[in-house]
Amino acid sequence: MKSTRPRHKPLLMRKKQTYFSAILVMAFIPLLLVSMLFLSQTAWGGGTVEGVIFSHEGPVAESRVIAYPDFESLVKKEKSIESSPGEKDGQYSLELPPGIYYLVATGKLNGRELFSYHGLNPITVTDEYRWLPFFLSPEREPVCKKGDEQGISGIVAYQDVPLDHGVISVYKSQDGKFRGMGLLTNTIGENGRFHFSLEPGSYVVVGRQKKEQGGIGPVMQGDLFCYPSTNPIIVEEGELCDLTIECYPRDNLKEYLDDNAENPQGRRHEKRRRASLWDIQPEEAQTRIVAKPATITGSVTDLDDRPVANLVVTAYPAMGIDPFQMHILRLITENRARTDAQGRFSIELPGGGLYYLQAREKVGEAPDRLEYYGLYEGNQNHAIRINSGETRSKINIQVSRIMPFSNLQVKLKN
Amino acid sequence: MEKLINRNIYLFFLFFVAISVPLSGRAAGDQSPASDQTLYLLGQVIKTDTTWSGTIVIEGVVVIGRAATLTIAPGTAIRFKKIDRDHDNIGDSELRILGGIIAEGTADNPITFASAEANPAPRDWSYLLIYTSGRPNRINFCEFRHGFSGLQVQFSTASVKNSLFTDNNEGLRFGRADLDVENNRFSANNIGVRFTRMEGPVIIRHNEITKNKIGIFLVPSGQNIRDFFKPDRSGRAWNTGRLEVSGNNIYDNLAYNLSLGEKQLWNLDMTGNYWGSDRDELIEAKIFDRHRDDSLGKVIYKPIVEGKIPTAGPEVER
Repeated sequence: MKSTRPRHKPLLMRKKQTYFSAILVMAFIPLLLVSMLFLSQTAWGGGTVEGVIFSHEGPVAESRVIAYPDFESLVKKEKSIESSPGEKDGQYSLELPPGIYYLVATGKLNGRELFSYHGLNPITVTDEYRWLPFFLSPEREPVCKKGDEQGISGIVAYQDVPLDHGVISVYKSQDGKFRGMGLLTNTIGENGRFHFSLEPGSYVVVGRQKKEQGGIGPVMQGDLFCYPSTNPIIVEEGELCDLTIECYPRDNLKEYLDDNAENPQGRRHEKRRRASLWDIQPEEAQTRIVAKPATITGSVTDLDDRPVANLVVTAYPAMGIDPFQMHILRLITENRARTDAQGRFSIELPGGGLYYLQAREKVGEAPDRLEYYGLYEGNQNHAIRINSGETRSKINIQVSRIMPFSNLQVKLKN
Repeated sequence: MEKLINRNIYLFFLFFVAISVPLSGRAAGDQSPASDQTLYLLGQVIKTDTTWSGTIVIEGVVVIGRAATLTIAPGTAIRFKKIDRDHDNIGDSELRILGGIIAEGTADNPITFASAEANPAPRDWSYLLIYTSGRPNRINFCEFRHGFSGLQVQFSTASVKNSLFTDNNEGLRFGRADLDVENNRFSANNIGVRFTRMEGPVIIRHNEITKNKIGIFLVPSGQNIRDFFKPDRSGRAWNTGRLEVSGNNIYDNLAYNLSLGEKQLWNLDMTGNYWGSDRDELIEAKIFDRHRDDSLGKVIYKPIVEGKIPTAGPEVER
């Protein structure tokens, strides 16, 4: 229903009201300030992300962290929230409303543009404090040429030395998360080389190297994460794009910095700022995120009931997929643990739910010949339903070596 | 409500039969019903060596555990009830082998895997899946009908011989496998043989692959190709020494006798097969490869075998 009241009051009345309003506002200013202070301490539902932005030479003064709400915004450089600088060179502080963000850092050093995409992206921001370091690398444009081949190729390197092992994955840009095996995953070849034949389109390329060959799971402390600043790479018809991808070691500052670089961890006696690299070790910071309220413990045995040590037991969250389907075991999760010498394991879970259980030697690739492998057989769904806060114990998984040799003689026709 | 009550009565009946038959005085591990009886199995894990004969009706997923081997006697009929809990229009009932399976019928007494429905159709049940098995598995003189895939072999070692795959969505699907596929007949499926890896060793020899919508369909997996490599455009075939497809009759499939799926960039050696004709243009009309899409690999089919290969197909048909 429309209002019948006049839209403007007479001028005199407005003037009188203006004086009255001014007095009212002045009286309420102290109250307003107290309220804002109160709200800032109690009702701010966002989180603080802080850390330091490094190059190989140490903290980078001319640098900042930028948060984007999604990958498309990152590509378009829109809807961004920028960090404010901390007290010391390279420090940053970012206040963000709760949500999921893509965090990148940019900087400039000796006239060169530097870039870093955080390996944990997309990052969930809650009201929990987070500390995230960034390790910058020079920005390098891909070189795309028309020719016989179509796709993306290049070299993966760390500190200008090509990697001698690791994997490289290519994802469609719309994938968004860029975790797991993506569209294609392959081992890095000789001299750090890689090559993907691809249809025209927009792709994100990510390299990873575990510190130990055959290491498990997501990128952990000391592992290399490699992400070119020019992602996504646009592959045109009949075009091959060649690029160099620089890596950085996750949370391993000592490894990353040059010998003569300034290491802020060496300056512990200086006046400290709350929760910066000066008073929090990276590994400690990473464990501050959320308490894990459910646990599965048990053992892994072979067909003769002997314990099998050093296997990886993974609890895949069902995420609505029920009953069991093979592709679930290709999803990525951090819910995993290695068995000890007695074959025992204990997995902490982020919450209750339905989890598919698997034990095997390798992680991140398809089951392989003669590998120890087993699914939980407590039911035909290979799954355990667990409540938040609950501990389920005495869960046994039986494994055997798979794909025995048949000695098939494949004829060599050529 | 009436439907619900009927279903509950039915489930109670299944449960009663499922528990009563194994408890009827038979030796442990022997689940075979008497020849005139039917054994009903709801979803479960079977953890000890087991022999089946007679008729087995499966409703749900039956898993043969890693420590167990399932032996199926000649003439056994395995029937799968159609249920679809996840509403994907594929029946959920399935026989999943983590341990081992020895299913060896005879020419006169084949083992049959099919729908339990009165009006059976492809996709009524999921598949016989051999998954991460630690044993050599044998399928011989078996028949697969009405499955999403009749048989899937994934990360396992198996021989599949003298068997019939018909009226399935796919006859046989395999990925990483050590697999010997000989003297089978793949007919009237949507896809006769579908595979996703060429690491091998895999032999597909002396089979009859006909009257499917697509005879052989290769869609490579994007994951974990064993060794990093660039597509080889030199004309050499990449499957040499890994995957042998020879001595087969691959003809009269409705759309294509052989189709390469998206991303299948590598040339394939498919020499030594009968393709339904000795004329290049007729053979190539039924092969989807670089001739039609220059992003794909090339199928090298010459030299061909002229005239049907009499030793192809199950022994019983010859």
